[in-house]
Amino acid sequence: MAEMKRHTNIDRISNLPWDVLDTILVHIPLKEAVRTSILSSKWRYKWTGLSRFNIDDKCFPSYLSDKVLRWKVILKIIDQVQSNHGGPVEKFRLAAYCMPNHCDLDQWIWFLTDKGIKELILKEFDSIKRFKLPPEVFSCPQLSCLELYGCIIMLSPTFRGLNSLISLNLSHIYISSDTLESLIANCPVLERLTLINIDHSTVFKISNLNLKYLKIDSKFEDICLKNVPLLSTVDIRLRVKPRHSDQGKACNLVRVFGCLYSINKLILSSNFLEFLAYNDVPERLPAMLNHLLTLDLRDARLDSSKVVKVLLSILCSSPSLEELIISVSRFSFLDFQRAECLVDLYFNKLKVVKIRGLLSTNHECEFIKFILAHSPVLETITIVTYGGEIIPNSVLLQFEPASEHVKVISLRS
Amino acid sequence: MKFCTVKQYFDDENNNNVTNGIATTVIPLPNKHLKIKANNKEMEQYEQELLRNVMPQELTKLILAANYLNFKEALDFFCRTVANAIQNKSVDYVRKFFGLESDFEPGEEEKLCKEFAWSFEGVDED
Repeated sequence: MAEMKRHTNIDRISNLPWDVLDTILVHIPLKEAVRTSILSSKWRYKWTGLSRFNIDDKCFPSYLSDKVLRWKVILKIIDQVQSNHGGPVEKFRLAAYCMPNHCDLDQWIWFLTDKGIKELILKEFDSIKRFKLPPEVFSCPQLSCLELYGCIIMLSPTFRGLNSLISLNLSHIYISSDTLESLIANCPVLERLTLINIDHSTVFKISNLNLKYLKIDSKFEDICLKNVPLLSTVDIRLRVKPRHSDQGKACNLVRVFGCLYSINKLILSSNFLEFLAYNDVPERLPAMLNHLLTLDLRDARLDSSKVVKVLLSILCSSPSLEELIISVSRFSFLDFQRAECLVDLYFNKLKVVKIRGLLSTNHECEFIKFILAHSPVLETITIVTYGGEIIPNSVLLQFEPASEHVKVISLRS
Repeated sequence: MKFCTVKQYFDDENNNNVTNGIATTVIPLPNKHLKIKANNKEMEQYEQELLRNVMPQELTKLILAANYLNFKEALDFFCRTVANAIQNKSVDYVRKFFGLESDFEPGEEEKLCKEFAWSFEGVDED
């Protein structure tokens, strides 16, 4: 009798408060948490009460490569959880190579919406038959993070908004422009929005009083950023060549960015720059972008004078710019030297410049010369040339930099 | 703010949750934590050292102490330490670590192993 008492005294874990046990178990991979069911009879079903479930490829042994069989394993897990789970489920992440049965997935998601889910991440890679996300997801009061890949989204007529949603990431999603607009506008605490390869939306209408970070990498015909007073970082890549817009419409650059006074960081890529260039680009924006600190142009085709105008217009409107990064696919500053607005344009806060993709032609050197001469506090300028020769430092230093202590780094890729 | 319960604990004569020895380990933790919060590598080293010097029994008592004192950072830290200690270990190792006994019927354990066969790949040899 005394010996038995000694045995039960040694058990130092099973009677810890459940939320403490949960804190321990959520830090180990799910497949190991499942293994705890073999520890003792008390532990048989403890793992099913976890608050977070992360199902990814590491859950499966390497010999299990069949999509359908992998789903069978996942189904075993979610069946056991549904049968035994007591408390709330905070997070569910499915990012494994598998072939989900949509019926099972539907039921599991209803279960999660009942359990007050806060973070839902679904990356279903079977894009042949896209999964119709149950509209119940969009009435989860505590949902704070939603990340979806390859789903079809439709809102129910009773959709009122997601009051706790802070981060929304949609990738390879099928959603209409109106649904997307409604979803974004009705998430009062939304801070981060990422849209990648969105289908069936021709126009992105984004309006949200709390939004701080926006990333778009998709095809679209038009974009409208309205009522986004807190928007701080914008990263937009347009996946298709922009169509010629109607004459008589305002300049796209002004239309899209004219009112973004609080912007700190702007990342613009290739086709989107061409989109912004449509219709007469003014020398500078109607209102200064006083808070723009970083301008990053990617795959910029600077052999088009329209695109160069976009760059110059932004530069002329950004008195606080500290970092300028340009990665070029084609570069020819044709009308550059003749631009009058540049004579008095000084970058009084510019500290870092990085230019990639030059072929060390004369035009490019003119641009570098201009930057060096007009940036009195410049600290470093990094130039990467592709093919050809690097521009020797001796040449660059001949350009009479306005900043005494500028460090010139010339590299070849 | 974190230490309002500490005073209460010291005043409370009847506490079963925390012994004096444990308190001396937990209480200096906030300062240590603040000092090395920024440096992840240092934190890892501290973690490893803690594991070496502290027996599993101590670890669970530390967890209980941190829970009682409502000290979230310490609690998270100890829980993560335990999680790291049992990760990738065999069922027997984990049983020993926690002081658990298998109380299954003879065939039951094998049945469970079969049911969860997919979860057994990649376990450390003891």
